[in-house]
Amino acid sequence: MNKTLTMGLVGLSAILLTACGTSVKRIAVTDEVDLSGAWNDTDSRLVSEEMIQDALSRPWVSNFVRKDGHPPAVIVGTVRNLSHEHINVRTFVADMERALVNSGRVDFVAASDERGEIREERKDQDLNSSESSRNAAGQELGADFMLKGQINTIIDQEGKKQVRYYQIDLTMISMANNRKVWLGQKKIKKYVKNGKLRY
Amino acid sequence: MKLTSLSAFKLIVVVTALLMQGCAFQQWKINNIAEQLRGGSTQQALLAMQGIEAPKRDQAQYLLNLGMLKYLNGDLSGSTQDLQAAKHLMAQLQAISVREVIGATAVNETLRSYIGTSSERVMLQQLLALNYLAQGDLDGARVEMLQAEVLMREVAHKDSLSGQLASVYFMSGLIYELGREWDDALIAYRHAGELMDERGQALPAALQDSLLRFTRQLGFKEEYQEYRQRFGREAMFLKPGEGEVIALYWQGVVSAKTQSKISVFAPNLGHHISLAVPSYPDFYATSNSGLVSIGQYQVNAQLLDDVEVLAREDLQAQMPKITATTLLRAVAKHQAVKQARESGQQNGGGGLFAFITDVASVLTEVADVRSWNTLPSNIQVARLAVPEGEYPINVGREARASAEAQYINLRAKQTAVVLSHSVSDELFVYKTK
Repeated sequence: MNKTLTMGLVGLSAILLTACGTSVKRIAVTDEVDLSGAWNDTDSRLVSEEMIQDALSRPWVSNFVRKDGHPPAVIVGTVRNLSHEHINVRTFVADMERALVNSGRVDFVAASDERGEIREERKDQDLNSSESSRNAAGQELGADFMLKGQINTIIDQEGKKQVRYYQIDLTMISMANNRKVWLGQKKIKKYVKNGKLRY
Repeated sequence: MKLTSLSAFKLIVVVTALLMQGCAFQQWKINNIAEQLRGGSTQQALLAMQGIEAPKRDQAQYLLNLGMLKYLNGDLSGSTQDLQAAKHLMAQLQAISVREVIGATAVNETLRSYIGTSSERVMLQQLLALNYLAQGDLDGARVEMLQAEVLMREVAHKDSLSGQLASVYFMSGLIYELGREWDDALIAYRHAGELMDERGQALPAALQDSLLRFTRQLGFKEEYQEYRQRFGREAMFLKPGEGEVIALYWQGVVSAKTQSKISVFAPNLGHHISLAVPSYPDFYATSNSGLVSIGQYQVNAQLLDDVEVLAREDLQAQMPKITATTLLRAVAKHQAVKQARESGQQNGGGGLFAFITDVASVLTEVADVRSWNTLPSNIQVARLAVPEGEYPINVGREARASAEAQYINLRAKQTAVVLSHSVSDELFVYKTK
């Protein structure tokens, strides 16, 4: 009887210890998993999808092509994170860049922090590359528009309950005359309830 | 003496409680490291802290201290990482653990996970903001200040100012000011002033300047006149060709908690009664005004927050809960000794088991003296306008004269924020573009 009880206890302990171990499961990138209520990949994806759809459906692109005869060149300026969280804005900006470039209707030029490295490489080519493969300086494509924006949040909290409101505003500004040709906005609202008890 | 399975189990419980007691000594070890820091050896203190293997329940306290020591040693990214981990952990630990409540009621308070006091949680945000600022990341610092404001609202209590920090509001105002968000800057500076008024503290000249400048600049005429009358001077704006230095000076190391314990033999009960609660020493070193020198230009930094007072406010706010748990624990331990005596009489174990339980109840009665004890003793601030140029800079620390001189190059209309700590040779500078 005692032996059976001991065996049972050992077995139960083993099961309990297994439950404490790390487990990893692959999930689809489109699966919505909210763990803490903070900004996550789903929010980033929702924002980029909505912004892309909106940006491409507005007349600023066709107006520019009609007037200038080539797709507009866009540069990404500052997208400021003015929210309550450390948000990596580069993910949805990169998503937008990819979708807009792949649509064939917009060209993107390298942002200011990327250009330095490219110019260094061009200087290096000037010294070390064959004449046929060398890229000359002064041939960069100037941007026609700059994409700027910001993420703002409002947090309302009472005890363990919290409402998180995110507002993402992006603006496309003409480099020629500072005219704002497109304003994109996405709002996300979350109700987060934190647990009162833990193990 | 026959040892039944029930008695054996109880004995194991008592021995386990005594063994767990070993972990309570860890808190004294960390307090000693803070003492080392007081002596100014930041590197040694960091090495000593890294040599500690903190139990899981002290992990947040360990990360807070480690983050602070890394900051003082100039490892800003390492500090940010540890402090963010501490913040995340402390947020998770805010939920109540039934297991820990039982442990605290039966053995002692050190069996609870360390979650930090209200002021420590807010100070954590402030240190993170300093970290981001020192790394040139204004938006990162802004995030921390926004979180700090939410946190201060969360921990606000109508009967206590525990967790309300004027230095955090000032820091918020400063970050908004650096980001040219004048409205928000004024709101934060106002909060800092109101809080200092509530505490009966004199407003430092730097905060007075901020209030005068922004009420005037934003056209709040009545408010400006009130401040002008109260402070006896006009708003000061930068003259052409001048830049401005704002120095945030953290001085000293906050006192560590000590244990107040009484242990008496109660003849009518036939065993000891022990009560242990944390307390702070009545006396601590008062702040000395830190001298800010930018070349030949000098100003004295003035007190923004006395962290010693904040720590004592926090403990005072926690005392009703600590006292209630201590009394409950005394009752629980009395019951344990009583049962051990009865069990010993029934099983022929005599008074031995009761004696062991009594000794265990005395030895395990230890106050929770854990705290973020590498925090500064006080926080000071100064504003100083200087003509554009390059200057040697020194904030607060006479000993820094022996260290390699640091220079600051300031353009007209540029603002530089200088972050300094009295125990560290590191001096961080953030400059607007």
